[in-house]
Amino acid sequence: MSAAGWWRRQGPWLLGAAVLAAGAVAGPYFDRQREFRIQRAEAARAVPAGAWGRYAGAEWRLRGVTVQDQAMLPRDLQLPGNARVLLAELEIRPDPTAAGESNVARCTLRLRDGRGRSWQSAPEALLTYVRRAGLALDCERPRDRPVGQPYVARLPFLLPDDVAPAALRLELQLFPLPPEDVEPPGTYLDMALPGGR
Amino acid sequence: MATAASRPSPARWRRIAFNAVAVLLAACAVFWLHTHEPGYVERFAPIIVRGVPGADVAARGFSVAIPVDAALETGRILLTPGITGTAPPERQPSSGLWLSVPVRIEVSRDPGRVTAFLRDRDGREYAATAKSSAEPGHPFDHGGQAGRMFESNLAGLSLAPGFPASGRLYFEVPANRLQGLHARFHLGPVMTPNDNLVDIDLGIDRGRAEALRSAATPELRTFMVRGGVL
Repeated sequence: MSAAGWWRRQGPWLLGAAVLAAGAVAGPYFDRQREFRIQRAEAARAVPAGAWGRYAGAEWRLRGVTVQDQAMLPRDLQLPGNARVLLAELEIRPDPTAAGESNVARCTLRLRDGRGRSWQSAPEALLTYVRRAGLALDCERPRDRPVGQPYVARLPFLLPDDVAPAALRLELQLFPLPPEDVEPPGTYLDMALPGGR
Repeated sequence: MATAASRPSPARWRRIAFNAVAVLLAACAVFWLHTHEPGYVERFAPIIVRGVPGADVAARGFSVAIPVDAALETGRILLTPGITGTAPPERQPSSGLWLSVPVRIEVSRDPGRVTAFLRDRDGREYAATAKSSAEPGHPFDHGGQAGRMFESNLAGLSLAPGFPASGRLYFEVPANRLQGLHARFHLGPVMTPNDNLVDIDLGIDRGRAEALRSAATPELRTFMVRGGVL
């Protein structure tokens, strides 16, 4: 019995085993890939600086950012010594439907730097300042603006002074997530800052 | 011819033996894999990152240090700020001891809160006392002290990258459980599978436990009052 004969006789079994092994590796791999897509990796919708982005039944635009150093802030805010405030002016054009209006108010905003660090809008340390300066806590329409009209939300962030605003991107997501028929799960707007990367 | 067919050749015996060994080896491998499969606890248990006081212990998403230049303190009654400036501080007496541990915490990626607890030698856990809801910097005027109130308690404080927080954590511990205490920290209110759990041995041996017990002050304050105008 030659070796070649053995391989020929076992051929179908070996082929079957190879197919099963490949399936055992590929199955979980594609499963994980699908999970990652749902979670985050491909969920970002990039918006160039100053451009409008469409997300969750509204159009969004980052109109501008202002950086306020400690010298420009009230002294009694008790902020850390290395802190400064970045004000993001977000223009929102909700769709003139009830669903569009109710969706946009629940926005969560994060600034993310190139090292993966992130800062949330209106953190606890700034609540006093938000109250005093009449800034926004979320993307809700101001009471004095008519329904369906565009409006601007000014949202404050507290950043350490070693972060250059040009190195940041603004991530906008609604939480809880918008219904699946409005946006695929996990989708968020990834907005460039004016003059940023 | 018939005898040759009924009696297998040595080559056939070798093949059968080889196959039997191969099947046995495969069965052993399956058995070994099955018995060494990570259990439920191993798959979901936290990943413990150990450290010692004085060192900055970096875990996924945050880092913790227990400074050695600030001492552990003990007290019999915990004094926390009242809600309003003129309200007397709240007193929480303990049948055991209040242990105050100095800490420095920083989140390195996303904003969040760090949960802290103590673990004794028998695995019993003691949660840190929550920070009061009094607003930091609120005016304080009580018992001959006037100024603005600042709490040193860091429990449940909202943290952001780039802003390390230094302060203390307060735990209520039975007086005979000080020896061998470890401080443990994790990110967020609950642990998710394979979360990093920082474990720092506070280095309390029998002698130090005795010293901490005898040095317990009647009142341990979680806040300070700073006079003057800001």
